[in-house]
Amino acid sequence: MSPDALDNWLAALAGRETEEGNLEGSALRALIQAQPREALMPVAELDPIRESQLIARARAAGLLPEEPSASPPARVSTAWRWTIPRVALIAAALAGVAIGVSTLRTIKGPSETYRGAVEGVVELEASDPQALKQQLILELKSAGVSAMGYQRLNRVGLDADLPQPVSPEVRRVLERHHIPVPEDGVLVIEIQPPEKP
Amino acid sequence: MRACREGGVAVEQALRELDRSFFGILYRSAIQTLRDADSARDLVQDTFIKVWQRCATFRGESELLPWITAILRHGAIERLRRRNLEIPLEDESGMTAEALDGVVQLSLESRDTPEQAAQQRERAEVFRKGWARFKEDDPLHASVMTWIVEDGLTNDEITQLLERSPGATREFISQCRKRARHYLAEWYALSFEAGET
Repeated sequence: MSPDALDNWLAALAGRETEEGNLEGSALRALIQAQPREALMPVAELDPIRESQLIARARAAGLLPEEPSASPPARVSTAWRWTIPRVALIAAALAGVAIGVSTLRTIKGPSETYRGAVEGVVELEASDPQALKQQLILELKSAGVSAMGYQRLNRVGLDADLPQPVSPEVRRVLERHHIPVPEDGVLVIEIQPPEKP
Repeated sequence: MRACREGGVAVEQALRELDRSFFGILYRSAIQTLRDADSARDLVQDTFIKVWQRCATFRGESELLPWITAILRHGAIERLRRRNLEIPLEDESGMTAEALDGVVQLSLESRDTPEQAAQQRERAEVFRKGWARFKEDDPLHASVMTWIVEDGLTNDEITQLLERSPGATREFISQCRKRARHYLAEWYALSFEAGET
């Protein structure tokens, strides 16, 4: 597929005229435009419940100050007086274990597993996807490549357009992480944490 | 936008006005994309929060609704991103560019006889079903294609919308075309067979 063919397809789909034109894109555009809009339930312009939800979310996001509490703080019952320190002790113990595990991971250093490539997207598995993403961005930057990191929902990744031909420095970075050099120079990596057993 | 500068109480009133003015139109767009009422409602409210978090970046000379719509679309894309579907098809679906153009040309030609008009209707129905399945199975790519048709998005605008590198955006557009050909294969085939006879 030549780059021009895709550009022409996009232009025709968007309704822009090009010298060559693209009948497929034009036909898709005409047919997509002709699709009937789905009938939807009418939406009330004024909905107090909806507005209250929005205001609550704005408070939670810090856009609005917290509402002052109307009731005095509740008294802690006798049972809770004993339960809370116990819970705090357990939480502290768990936190200690978590810190220990985290420290061990740090000492071991970030590790990743190459899981394959699907439609040009390199998939890596790492115990700390964010750390690996930052590390890759820094390593690529030191090799002269500007990579763009992203995080969407629980997916972490980065994109980079590698200058052609790919320099030995960049190749070394990729090889170090067992990442194949993309033929088209478009590097797209997604990093996921290991699947839970 | 005045509330954006002043903050405080003005923000709450402005949020309510935003909800009353734009909830309906944004909700319709969101539900077309996400195909779920609760998710659509959540997305619109999330969009309003983002509008206020980003209001300082709004340039007064542009229209407010397109700016908010762009934020909504970003949010929709975030929610729709899933692991890429594997489409085991060649890019040209086994057809040459000339054959494809021929197929499309046939579908665009005017149909004068009743038989040809019936064929045209049949193809339109096949397209409708294929397009509905595309939207159902892969709302991300189908939605972006719809936005390209509706707003005549350029390559750069799609890059901004997806927040990806130009190369990754190009790959995304290529995927749109590939997936359209996959889901609308019957429409292509029907048109092609009609052309052969």
